[in-house]
Formats: sequence, structure tokens, C-alpha cells
Amino acid sequence: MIQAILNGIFLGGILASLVVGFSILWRVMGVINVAHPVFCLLSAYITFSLLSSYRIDPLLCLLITLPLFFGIGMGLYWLIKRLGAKEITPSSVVLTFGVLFVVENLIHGRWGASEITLRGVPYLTATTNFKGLIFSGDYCIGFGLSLLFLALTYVFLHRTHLGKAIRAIWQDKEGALLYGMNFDHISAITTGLSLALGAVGGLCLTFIYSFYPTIHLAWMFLMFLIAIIGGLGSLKGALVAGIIVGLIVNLTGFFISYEWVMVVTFVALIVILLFRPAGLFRT
Amino acid sequence: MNKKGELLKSAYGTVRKAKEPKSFIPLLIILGLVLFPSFNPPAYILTFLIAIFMYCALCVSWNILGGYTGYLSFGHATFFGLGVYVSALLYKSYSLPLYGTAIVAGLLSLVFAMAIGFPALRIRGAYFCVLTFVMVPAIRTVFFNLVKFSGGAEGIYVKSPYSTGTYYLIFLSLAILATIMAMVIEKSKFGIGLSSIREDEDAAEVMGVNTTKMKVMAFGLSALFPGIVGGIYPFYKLYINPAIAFTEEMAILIVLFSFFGGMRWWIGPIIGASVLTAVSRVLHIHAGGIIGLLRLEAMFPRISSGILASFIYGLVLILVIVFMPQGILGWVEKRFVKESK
Repeated sequence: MIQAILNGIFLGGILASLVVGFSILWRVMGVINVAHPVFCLLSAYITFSLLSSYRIDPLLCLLITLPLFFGIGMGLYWLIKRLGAKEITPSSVVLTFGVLFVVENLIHGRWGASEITLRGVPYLTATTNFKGLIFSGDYCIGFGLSLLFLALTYVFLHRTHLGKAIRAIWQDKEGALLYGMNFDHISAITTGLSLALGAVGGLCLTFIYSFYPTIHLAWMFLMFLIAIIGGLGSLKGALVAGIIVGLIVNLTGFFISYEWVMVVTFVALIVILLFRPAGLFRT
Repeated sequence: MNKKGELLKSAYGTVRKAKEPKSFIPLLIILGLVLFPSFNPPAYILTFLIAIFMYCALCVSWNILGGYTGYLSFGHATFFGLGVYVSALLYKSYSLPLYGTAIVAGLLSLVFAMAIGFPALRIRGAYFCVLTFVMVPAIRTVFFNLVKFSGGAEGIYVKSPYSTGTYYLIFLSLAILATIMAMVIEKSKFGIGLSSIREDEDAAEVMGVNTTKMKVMAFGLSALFPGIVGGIYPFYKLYINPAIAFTEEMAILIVLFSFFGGMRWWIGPIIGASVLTAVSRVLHIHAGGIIGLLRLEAMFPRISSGILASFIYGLVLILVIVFMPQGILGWVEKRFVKESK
């Protein structure tokens, strides 16, 4: 059982990096990007292709995917901008749902429906045994990578000029505009950041799970749960909530069976929404 | 005047309006639709229209909550799925015929919606959307897992005594009935109360509108016809399982169609459902040709017409929402309705 807890924590950290981008975008711009998980998945598929065709190490692939998805994010912002500010939340759901259709079918058309795993990466299959607990490379490296990027994002948001600008807009939009901040510019960067983080999250998640074109729907379910439990926009919240959900998933699997995970998480979501809809950590 | 009196008054008003000259055209269209099968059209046209009627009924019912109160239920497919299963299970266990099971299915969906509405409708805005959205996979998992009760992943096979033409008329009638229900509600005092919730719920509460009761009732009523339509579905498709009955795709499409058509009035979801289902079908038919024409297999080795169709559908959605953010009704309003000043 301790093994389940350990893996649950690792899983949670990885899920957190999946969710952070989504959570920030929702909180800062009111945009619910249901296409976020499918972009994460796209990053995984691109890495898979680079790995199998050119033998590029997945971590090195990040050098390609991060800027790529940052750029795609800025493109997404261009679309979001045209939605108009009124009722942006439901419109953003419709828009991103269209984007979801587009990306999912791009994936499906290019790579097919069969289940895929990242193969031939030595550090992913390595395992060590420490005091009877198994530490496998895929979980550990994924967890480490997620934490690294969460930390980088934290540093970015709190210590850099640009990061502070993003937080300023988030906290008080009118006030920030009065200071002469370029709202469009910063929003575009925020969206880019959101997707870039998603790219990392998607990659880490596929270290531990095999994937297929529609798996993003299952990810979306967990993503909503974690975003809401953790509180929108909060990095700490995403991490803590991620770990909680990771533990719920693994412990449910351990005690009951994996089939009931969705029902348990649904109940957890209802409970949170009824008693603490703002989540654990407000921003 | 009491509630029943109000509803009767608005129903009478609707019927009286139907006799006016300008209502003649819609009635003519309906008459045309009813007589259509007697011309023996090919089956694929009938199934296409059945799909449209189904989504019309689903969307116009959904709109009772979504459009009038502003609470967007992204999980309405759950009520459809519940209708499917209640009906299929009643058939399996007691061999009840079609009409009985479907009506029971609808009523049970209504009850379930009201039960779940009590806690769920306390949550507002985007959180309500998320909550209802995750209902779909959750309930589906329940039906997958309780194998003794639901047959699990194996599903249920149903024997159907009726022809496609009959199902056409059944679904058409359901679409019409659902629309009439929405029209009656819209014009009634109940409907105005619902709109007040959309405009400003707290103000409505202060003014004495019992928002909780109205929301729950609206939610329940909005689940009735999805339940009945779901109840007919197993007999139409002859086989159902949890993955077929509860799909996220349907959940989102219902909202999409209604949003696209416009959510303020009953006609919006009808327009949205009809147009987008037609677009989807047309795309499916022509996608194969486009793949050949553009030699898409080179870059996309696993492409198929379904995939390309969905892809283009996504592009259509994006274009539509960017250029018509309020849906078709909103666009019509902007272009054709003159400002009073």
C-alpha cells in the first residue's frame, strides 16, 4: 500500500503540471480551454514521432515542443481575442471545443487510433529498490520534470518583470491597464505559457501511461477536478490538489478497483463544489 | 392567478397564435415533415432527419434550463442515457413495450434531475458547467461497473417491432411536443421567472422569486424529453451499452447546438440543431472526396472521411463562434432588428 501512496504522490505531481496551464488561463482570462488536454496529448505524440524517427531523447524534444506550443498558445490567444469580452467563458468553451475537434482529428489522422508508448528510452524503464519500495524511472523523472517546471513557473511569475506584470493584470485589470501595460501582449504571453506548460505535462503523463487519440477526455476529467480543488490560478493549489487526486486515484485503485475511480472523483468534486468552491488555495 | 391557471393561459395563447396567418408557414413545414415518409424516401434521409429531430428535442429541452436561466448543463446527455437504460432494462426484465418504457424513462429522468438539481443548482457559473460535465463519465462508469444490474459493457439487445418510418414519426412528434413545452414555458409566468434568474439571480431572489424551486423545476422539466427520447433509442438502434448511452460528445453537442442557434428563444436550439447536424452529415459525405482530391494521405496516413469531417466541423465551429458569438439569433438580432432610438 505504501507503494500505492508513493506512486500516487508521483502521479499527482505529474497531473499538477498538466493542470497548471489550464488553471492559470481560466483564472487570468476567464477562458476555459477544454482543448488544453488535447494539446498536452499533441505534445506527447510529437515527442513520440521525434523519438521514433530521429531518436531524439524526449527531454531534448522539449527544446522543440516548448517554443512550438508557446507559439500555438499565442495563436490561440489571437482567436480568443476575437471573441469579445462579454460572456467570454461560455464562448471560450465553444471555441476551444472546436479547437479540440481540430487537434484531436489531426492526431487521429496522423498517428492512428492504436495505443502508443514511448519506447527505447533507457531512463524510463530503470527501476531502483529502496527499502522495499520500487522507484521507477518513468514516475520519478516525470515527477521531477513536473516539479522543475512548476518551480520555474513560480520563479517566472514572482521574480521576473514580465511575470509580475501577468500577476498584476490578474489581480486588478483596470489598475494594471492604468499603468500602461499592454493587455494584449501580456495575455498572449499568458496563453503561450499555459500551453507550453501543458506540453510539459503531456510529456510527463505519457512517461507513465500509454496513450491514444481520445485519452485527452479522461485527462480532462481529472484536470477539471484538480483545477477546482486546488483553486484556480494557484500553483501551490495545483500541486497539492494534484497530489490529493493522484492519491485518490491510486488508493481507490488499490482498495476498490480502478473502475470506480471516476465515480469516487466525481463524488469528491461534488463535495468540494458544495463546501469550498473556491478550492483550497485562493488567489 | 395560480400556477395551473397561468400555464393554461399561456398554452391557450400559444394555440390561438397557431391559428394566426403568420403561423401558417411553420405548420405547413410540420405537415410536410409528417407526410414525408409516405413518399418512400431512401432510408438514409430518414435516419438523417431522425437525428435532427432527436437533437431538436434534446436541445430545446436543454434550453429550458440553459437558455432561460443561464445555468448551462454540460451533462444533459446523462438524462438521455438514463432514459436509454431505464427503457432497455424495463424491456429486458419485464418485456414492456416501447411506449410504456419510454414514458417511464422520461419520468424517472425528471425525478433524477430534480434530485440532483437540489445540490447541483446551488453552484453557479462555470463551476456548474464543470460539475454537470463530469456527471457523464461518472454515471457511465456506474453503469459499466454494476454488471448484474445493467449488463455492463456487454450491453443490451432489443427487439424492435417498428420500421424506420414509424421511428421517424415518433421522433418528429417528440421534437414537436418538446418544442411546444418550451414555447408554453417561455411565455408563462414561470418562464419569466426563469429569465429573471438569468438576468440577476440575487435580485430576483430579493424580489420574491423562489429561485431554488424554479431552477429545480426547470432542470427537471428539461430532463423529461431527453429521458423519453433516450427511452425510444434502444428500440431504434437495437443495441445499447454504457459507452453508447452516455457520451461526452452528445453532452457537448447539445450545448453547442443551442449556443450556436441562440439561447434566448425556443427557436434557437431548433435552428442550431438542424443546421449543425446537417453540416455534419454533409461533411461526412463529402470528406472522402476531399481526401482524394488533396492527397491528404501523404501527411496524414491514418486519415478517414470521419476524421476529416470532424476536423472541418471543428473549423466551422471556430469560425462561427468568432464571427457570430451570440449565435444565429444574436446575429439576426443585430442585423435585422432596428434600434428603437
